[in-house]
Order: sequence, then structure tokens, then C-alpha cells
Amino acid sequence: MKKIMVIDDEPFILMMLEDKLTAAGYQVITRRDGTDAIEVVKKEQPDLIILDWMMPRISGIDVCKRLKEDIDTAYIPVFMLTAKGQAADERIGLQCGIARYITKPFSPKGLIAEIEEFFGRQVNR
Amino acid sequence: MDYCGLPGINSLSIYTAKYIMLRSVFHKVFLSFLFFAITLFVPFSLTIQHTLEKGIEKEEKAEDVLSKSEAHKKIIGDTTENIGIFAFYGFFLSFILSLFFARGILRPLKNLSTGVKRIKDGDLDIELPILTVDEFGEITNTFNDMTATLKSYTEDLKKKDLYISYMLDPLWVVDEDNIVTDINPAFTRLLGYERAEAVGRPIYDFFDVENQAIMRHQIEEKREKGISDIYEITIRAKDGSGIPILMSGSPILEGERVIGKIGVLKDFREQKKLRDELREANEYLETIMDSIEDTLIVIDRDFRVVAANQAIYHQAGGKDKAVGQRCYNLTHGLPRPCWPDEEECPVKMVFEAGRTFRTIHEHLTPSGKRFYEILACPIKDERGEVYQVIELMRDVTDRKMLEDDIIQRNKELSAINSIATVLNRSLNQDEIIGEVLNRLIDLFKMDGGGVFLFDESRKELFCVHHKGISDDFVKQIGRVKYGADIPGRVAATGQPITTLDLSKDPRVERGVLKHSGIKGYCCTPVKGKERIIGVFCLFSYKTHIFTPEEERILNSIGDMTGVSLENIKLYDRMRGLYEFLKTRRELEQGLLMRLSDRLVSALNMQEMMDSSVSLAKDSIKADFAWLLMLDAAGNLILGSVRDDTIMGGIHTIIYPKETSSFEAYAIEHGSPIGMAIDEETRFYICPAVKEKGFKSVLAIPLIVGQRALGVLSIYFYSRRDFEEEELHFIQLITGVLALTLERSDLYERMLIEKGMAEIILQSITDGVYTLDKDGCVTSINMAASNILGVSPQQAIGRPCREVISHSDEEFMILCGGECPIGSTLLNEVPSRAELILRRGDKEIPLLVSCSPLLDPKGEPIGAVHVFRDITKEKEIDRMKTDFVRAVSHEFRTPLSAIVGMTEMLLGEEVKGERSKEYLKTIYQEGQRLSHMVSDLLDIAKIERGKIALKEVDIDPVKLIEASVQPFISMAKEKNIELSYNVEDGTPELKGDADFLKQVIINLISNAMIYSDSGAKVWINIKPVDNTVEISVKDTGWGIPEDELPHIFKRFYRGRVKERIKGTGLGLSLCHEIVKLHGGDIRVVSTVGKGSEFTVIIPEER
Repeated sequence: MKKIMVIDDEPFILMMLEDKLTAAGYQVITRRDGTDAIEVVKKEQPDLIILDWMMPRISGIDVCKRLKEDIDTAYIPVFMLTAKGQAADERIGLQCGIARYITKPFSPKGLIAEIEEFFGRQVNR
Repeated sequence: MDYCGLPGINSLSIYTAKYIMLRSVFHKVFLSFLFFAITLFVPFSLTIQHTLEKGIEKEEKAEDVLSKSEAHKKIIGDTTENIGIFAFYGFFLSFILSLFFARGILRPLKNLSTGVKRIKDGDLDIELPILTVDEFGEITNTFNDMTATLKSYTEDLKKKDLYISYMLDPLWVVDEDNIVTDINPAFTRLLGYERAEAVGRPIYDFFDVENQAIMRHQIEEKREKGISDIYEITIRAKDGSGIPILMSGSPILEGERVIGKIGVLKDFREQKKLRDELREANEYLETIMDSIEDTLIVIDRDFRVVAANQAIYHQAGGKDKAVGQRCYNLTHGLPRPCWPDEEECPVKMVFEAGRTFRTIHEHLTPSGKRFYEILACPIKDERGEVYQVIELMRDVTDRKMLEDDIIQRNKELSAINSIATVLNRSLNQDEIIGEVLNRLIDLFKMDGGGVFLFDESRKELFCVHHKGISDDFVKQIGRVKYGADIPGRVAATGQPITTLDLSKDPRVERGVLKHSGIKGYCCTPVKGKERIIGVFCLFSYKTHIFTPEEERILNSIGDMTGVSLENIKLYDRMRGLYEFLKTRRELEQGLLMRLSDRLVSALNMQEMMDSSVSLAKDSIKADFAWLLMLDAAGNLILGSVRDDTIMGGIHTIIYPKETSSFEAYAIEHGSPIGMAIDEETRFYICPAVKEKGFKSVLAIPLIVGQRALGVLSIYFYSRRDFEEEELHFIQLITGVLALTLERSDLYERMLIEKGMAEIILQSITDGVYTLDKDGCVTSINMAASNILGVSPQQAIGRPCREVISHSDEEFMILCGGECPIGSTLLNEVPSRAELILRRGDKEIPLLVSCSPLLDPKGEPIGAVHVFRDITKEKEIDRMKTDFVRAVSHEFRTPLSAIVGMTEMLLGEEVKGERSKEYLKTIYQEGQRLSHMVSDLLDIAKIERGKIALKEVDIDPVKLIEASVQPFISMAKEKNIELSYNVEDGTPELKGDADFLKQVIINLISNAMIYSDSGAKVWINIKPVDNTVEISVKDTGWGIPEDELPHIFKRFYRGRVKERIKGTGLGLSLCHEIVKLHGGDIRVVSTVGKGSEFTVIIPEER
């Protein structure tokens, strides 16, 4: 069973994603901010991280950067789920090494499809 | 072939050799025997005898028997011993002898046998040495002679054989039974049969049935009878193909008997081919010759035709008939050579000169005389002497006739042309008529003629020129009524009349003409464009038949002359007109010069007007003139007047706008108008003028472009028409006047406008400067020098890039093609650009627009450069962008809940309690959205001043409690200590409860958001003087000092954007609301320690 970690400061996003992902057959870990993300990621070794950008204390981008700097976590794919919808923002995200950039509002169904397509592609690869 | 091996020769020689050899051997043996007998037998006999004697002696001596027997024995022994010795000696000697003889006999034998062997091997090139002078020597000698003979014989044979082998022509030898016995290599080469294949076969095998017959005939009828022959036959090669050959067959005779045949076969293919080709070529040549349309004949030195082609048929009725005839007979029908009658006989000339001649001749043919173009070419023999002539004759009769026709036409044309030249050359009527008549008489070889012109008023024709008749005669016939006699008829009908005998022509009405002796006569009309001008008459005392061509020429000359005469009339008229106009123009030009002189020297407008009016009046010889000027209101006011006496000193005349005056009508009409004045005129005329009783008036409006300036009116005592020329001139004067007036007016206005423009330029806030073509500043306004920080004195004359100082980097970018100034100067089109001005360390964004400056001709003379400091606009723009982004971000998060959760609910993925939670979240986020929207709306309303406060008394405690309430749970969650306090004596506040609550909520919300867990937030409300102070204090992150002045600005959001959510509207809204309540809001903050916002609301307003 694939393990997905969701980091978002909005509780309802976490709730929604937890429900949806669980129903889709994934194991879900949620976090409301990214301060201790590295440690948790290292411990849990999720297969995918869904990350919000705009969060208090530490932004999603910084979290992502830290993940990519650490050899133990750099390989874990990151989906950025954010309200920042500008092309320039997406570019910044992609430069940080994220795998998918998904703007809010989003369709949970679509997200699942995206994840499955992504995993499928990974497997195939 | 081994001839040495021939049986006859071989046996003979061997036999002879053996014979000789045997004789010699017997001889030698005999000699040896003799020698042996002498040398051996004698001593032997003597020895034996001696020994026997001795023995007998001894025996005799011995007395006893024993001794006798012994002696006997001894005798026998000695004799035996002697015989043995003798035998040995004999044997030895005979051995030596045999050795000796063997050498003597065997050497020549060996010598001979070697020679014979070599001959047997085919080597005839030998001469045996003669070793002995005996029979052997003789034999050897004979052998040598035989060999030599054999050799020469063999060589002879070999040579012959060689000839046969190398003979290029095939050869065969046939025996008496007609069987092939031998062939040579050439035979094999030609026919492919090897020797072995050919030899032994009957010769008939080599031919097909047809050729067999030929061969049989040859063999049986000729060869068998000992006759040689050469004949053609086709032989069959090995590959089956037939090869034509020339066979040269001869019988081989032995005495009278034919023992065989020999045949030499000559390959006849090439010759046959050549022969065929030659035949074909001859046929081809003949075909070609026959296919030539031109006649072609070959003539020999006896002028006899030796060959001709088919085309000769036309001349001789057939090739066969032509060949053999004499050429002069054939072509000219003469019984003898044509020269010296015909000097140019081409055949003779070719024979004499030996080169090609070309000429045109008249030949006699069965169909009559025809012209031929002849090309005669020599045919030379090996010595280079002409022995035949080829004559190529082309019938050019039609061409020659055409050429003759063309020559005739050319003659006519040149006559017409010469007449046309005369017509064009002169503009003198008499000259033309005379000349044309003379030439016509020459052309038609007539005896005389005359020219009549038509007098329209009298309806008669009169003679203006004549030739070949006396003046007296002309007096009699010089006038003809229109329509009468031949000239009259011609003039009336326009149709020429020709007659071959005038005396018999019924159309001649006058007897004097009828009996003048004139016979040939023609009369041609001279037509102008639309009418008859006159007629030409030509006559001859002989009868003359006018051919249609001649009539045609006469007609065209008549037409040409008519046009020419008309042109002369036209020219005369034009000339008169030209002279008239020239005089007139000179006069007008003089007047205009005077006018312009006066206008130039005029000091003011009045003087200009007076001069112009006076000139106009004089030029047209008018009695009175005035100039009415149109003012702005549309009234006509007297500007200038000439002949003051009429006005009686009155200098002010106004035709109000409504007045229906003649002058107003002319202005309305926009062009000069002339009119007669009488009692019934519908136009108003001012009484002072009207009473003078002018009869006519001319009014010319002064118009510049589309604008009328006034009107010049000229009055006359007499009634008169106005010529176009006059009108034009007057218009010219008024035009000049109008322009002058307009220009002086414009100049004055320009002075004023320039001053105004200067003032405007200096007073506007946009920077403006102008540049010349090189990009140097030529003028600069105040605003520009303020923005750029340079004084006008510093700026003028310097290149613009130094005036708008920017860093090198910018300089490169701007001057490298993107510079708006540069592109404007280069492309002469307006341009706009934003650029950053660097003044010290300040960066000022400028909006620069450039337009090219063009002179009146449209040539670029520089550019004008207008720019504006757009710092504020930029800032506003940035804030607006930020705001839009912030709002969109903030909208997206709640929308996520609404969209995502609804999707899941609708998909029935969530059930029971969970679905309630979902719905709750959707509700809350919806609320959040709606708050944001209302915040925005509030701001917008307050900004536009469209908000009305619902002022009520507000209990401070309730206000605070209501404000804090929404944050209690959040504070717990975030572990923030949230407390509030209302100090004693705090009065009720006056204001809008909802708005004030919103202010406090916003402040608390900010405090909570910008604080970490464990921070404190407390709200205090207290009375200070006549105000109530509400402060919200926190121990959060604090605000950087440089941001403090901006935080209440609309759309402003902290620099730490990424970490802050919000619309950037909260504090701005608070500020607006507080201001609306007549209060104030202040902030004290330290980074890392916290912030304190204080709202001050006055108790009373």
C-alpha cells in the first residue's frame, strides 16, 4: 500500500484529502505545518508528499527545498497543492524539483487520477 | 610440311649413301687383309719354321727315345708356345688394325648418317665436311649438293606455301571429282570452315540451290573445258550466311587433261555494299533533284543538257525531252546560242569565269514568258576546269510582278509624300496650291490644270491658280457656279469626276471648254474637315484614262490639301488670338506688378486694401469699387472704397448679416457674379450707391481655402458684359489681396498664439523638450528641467542622452535600437517608451513619448520629447497587481473546500457524521468568502464616500466581548493567551457598532496571525480626555520600521508576503472606518517584540 503524506495548514484540506486518499486505497499521514516535516518524512518514508505552499512559519517551497537537499528524502516525489495560480509561481515550484503543480481549488477526483497516473508512470518507468 | 620425309627422295639418298659406304668398306677390308697378311703371316711363318727347325734339330740330337720323345714333346711345346704367342700377337695386331679401320670407315659414315638425320628432321641448312678424299668424300660431296638442291626447292615451296597462306583472298583447290583438296587460311577466315572440315567435301556443298546452278554451269561448261572465268556467286559460310564473292576459277591442266580446279574467292561484300549504296545514292540524288521545285539542269560545254530534274517538265514537258537538247533551245526557243543577243548568259559566264553566277532571266516556256531566277554553278574536273554547269532555275514571275507593283506604288507614294511635304512645309496658301498643282501635273504627265476655291457667300468657285492655259482662257472659265459644269458638280457632290475625252463629255456645259481641245480631264474635290474648300482640275490634250490608283491618289491629295488649307486658316486665327492675348497679358502683368509692389510696401491692412481696390477698379475701367469685409458675426463692413465723391465722405457702411445684398449673394455663391442693376433687382443696395444710377455690377468674393474674407464689388454706369479674361484678372487681384490679408491676419494671430503656447508649455507638469536632427536639445520647459534636475541653460545644446542621464547599461539598451528618441528621429514616426531615469541614486520611472517635428514640407527637423514622472502610477500599479493576486489566492483556498468537498459529497463518498463536518466546512469557507467580498465592497464604498454610518451608543464591554468571541477557540488551538480589559469610566461609544466591531476583530485577527504559539494578545479600552482609546497589543513578530508608514495603505501587504494570508485590506478598512468616525489609528511596533495598535474614537463629534 502506497503511503502519502499531506502537509497543509488548512484542516479541511487535510480532512478531505485523508478521506479521499484513504478511500482510494492509500495510507495517509497528515501534518499541519512543515516545521518537523523532514524528520517525519525520514521516519515515515512516504511514497508521495502533497504539500501546500502558503503555510505559517515555513513555506511549502522551503520545505520542498529542504527535502530535496537531504539525500534521504530527495527522491520522494512532491506534489504542490497551492492557491498560487500564476505561471511564474509554477515555474518557481518546478525549479524546486516538484513533480506536479496543482492549483486550488482542485477536484479530489482529479487529484487521485493525477496521483494514479503518476504512480503508474513511475511503475512503468 | 615435311618434304624431307617424301618417300622418293629419302630412299634414293639412303640407297646412294649405303652403296658408296659398302664399296669403301670392301676396299678397306681388302687393304687391311693385305697389310695383315704381310705384317703377320710372314713373321709367323718364319718363326714357326725356325722353331720347328730348332726342335727337329734337337730331336735329332736326342738319341734315345725318351729323349726323342722328350725332344718331340719339346718341339710340340715350343711350337704350341709359338703359335700361342703368335695368336696373341695376331689378336693384338688385329685389334689395333680394327681400331684404325673402324675410325677410317665409321667417321664418314657417322658424318653422313648425322646429315641424313638432320634432313629427316627437316633441317636442310647443313653442309657436311668432306673428311676424306675417297668414295666417302665423294658421297659426302654429292650429299651436300643434294641437300643444297633440296633446300632451294624446299624454300621455293615454302615461299609459295607462305604466299598461299598469307593470301588475303580465300583459295581452294578442287580435284577432278570436284572435291575440295585444299584451302588456305583466308578461306577459313572468310567462311569459318577449318581445313579439316572443308577438305574432302564436294564444292556444291558450299552453295544453296540457286548458286549451285551457277557453280555447276561454271564447272561443267567452262572449267571442264579448260576455260577460266571470273564470276559473282554467293557462297554459304559455316554459320549459314550467304557471302557474295567474286570467284576467279581456273582449271589445273596436265597436258590437255583437267586434273583439278583452283578457285580464288574474293570477298565481294564491301564492293557489293558500296555498289548498292552508290545505286541508292544515285537514286536518292535523283529523288532529291526531282523533289526540288526549282528546275535543275546540268549543261556540258556543248550547251547540251545532260541531266535534268522532274521540274523541267514545265519547260520541256519531261525529263527525257530536256536531256540532249541545247540549253538555248530549251529555255529561249532559239536555234543557235543566245549570245551575243543575250549578254548575260549565265552558262557561258560560268564556263568563262569558273565561278557561280546568279541572275534573273526571262525564259520562254510552253505557258508563255516567265521570269526565272537562275543560279549557275560550275562542276569542275580533277584539273579544276569547268566541264559542266548546274543551272538552278526558280520561277519568280509572280514575285517580279509584285516587285514591279511595289515599285509603281512607291513612285506614287513618293509623289504623295512630296506633296505632303509641301503641304506641311508651308503655311502660305498660294504657295501650297501652286506647288501641289505643279506636282500633280508632273505626276500624271498632264498638260495643265487649275485650282478653284469655293466662295461660300457667292456660291461659286473661282480659279486661284492655273497652269498650261492662258490668262485669257482663265478669264473665260475662271468662275463656275456651285453645282454647274464639272467643277461645280464636284464641289457639290464631293465626288471626283474623270473623263477621257472632255469634248464628248455631256457634263461639260460651257462651250468654250468643250472646244478648247482638252481631252483627258479630271476634277477632284479639296475637302476640309466638314466642307468643300475647292477643286483641283487636271487636263491633257491627249485622251487619258485615269486608273483607279490615280483616282485614289488624286482623292487623297485633295483631302490632304483641304486639311492643310484649313490648318492655314486656323493658324492665322490662332496667331491673331495669340497677339491679342500677349498684349493683354503684358498689360495685366504690369498691373499685377504694381499691385504687388504696393502690397509689399504697404504699411498696414488699410493701405493694402485701398491699393487693391483701386487697381481692380482701374484695370477693368470701372466707375466705382469698394471692398466689404466679413466680420466674425457674418456682417459685411466697408473696408475700402474708391471714388470718395460718390460716398460723400461716408466711410462706414454695414450690411448686417441678414441683409440680402448682392455682395452677400456672391460670397454665398463662392465665385464672381456679374449682374445688371434695374428697378426690379431683388438685392439691397445701399441708398448712397443706388441713387447714382449704376447699371451693372460685378462682385468677387475674397476666399482663402474654405473661408470667405469679404467681397469686392465693382460698379459701372453702363450696362456691360464681362469677358472671361477680365473676370480671371479681377479674381487674380482679389486672390492676391485675400492671401495677403489672410497672411497678415495669421501673422498677428501667430504672435499671440506663440506667446500662449510658450506659457502653456512652461506651465504644464509634463516635461517637454525639443531636439534637433542630431538629438541635441533645442528647448526645454520648466517641468522637464525640474524632473531631470538640469537648468534650461545646462540642457540646451547637449545631446538628449546626456540630459536624461542613465547608466551605461541603460544607455546601451536604449541607444541600441530601442531608444524612442532614436527611432523617432530615424523612422519619423511617433513612439512611446518607459524608461528609468537615474538621478543620483534615485530611480525615476518615466513615460516618454516622442513625436517627429516636421517642417511645412514634411521634412523631419527633429523631435519633441514629452515625459512624465510615473513613480506614483507605477506604485499604484504594483499595489493593484499585488491586490489582485492576494485576492485570488485568498479566494482559492475556501473555494477548494467548496469545490472539493461538494464533489465528494455528490459522489456519496462521505457518509454520516463526516458529511456533516464537510457541510460545516463548506459553510464556514463560504462565509469566509462572503466576508472577504463584503470587506472589499466596504472598502470600495468607503473609498467612493457612499457609506452612511448607523450611529448608535455602543457599550464598550459588549463591543469587546463580541469582538473577542470568534477568536477564543483559535487562541486555544494556537496556544495564545487572549485577554481583554475595559477600564473603569469608559463611556459609551458613539458610532456604527458593526464597523467598530469589525475594526477590533481585524486588529485581533492580525495580532493572532502574526504571533507564534505562546504569545499574548490583550485588548484594552480606556477613556483619554474626550476620546476612547482601544488598544490591541501582542507579543508577536512585530512590524519592520520601514513598513510602518505603509501599513494603512490600501492593498499594502507586508513584505513577508509568503507567510501572510490576507487581502491587504484589513488595516486599510480599519483606518477608513476610524476616519469615518472622526478618530485615528496609531501603531507602535518592534520587530521580535510585538505590536500595539491603538484606535482613538472621539466621544462626541
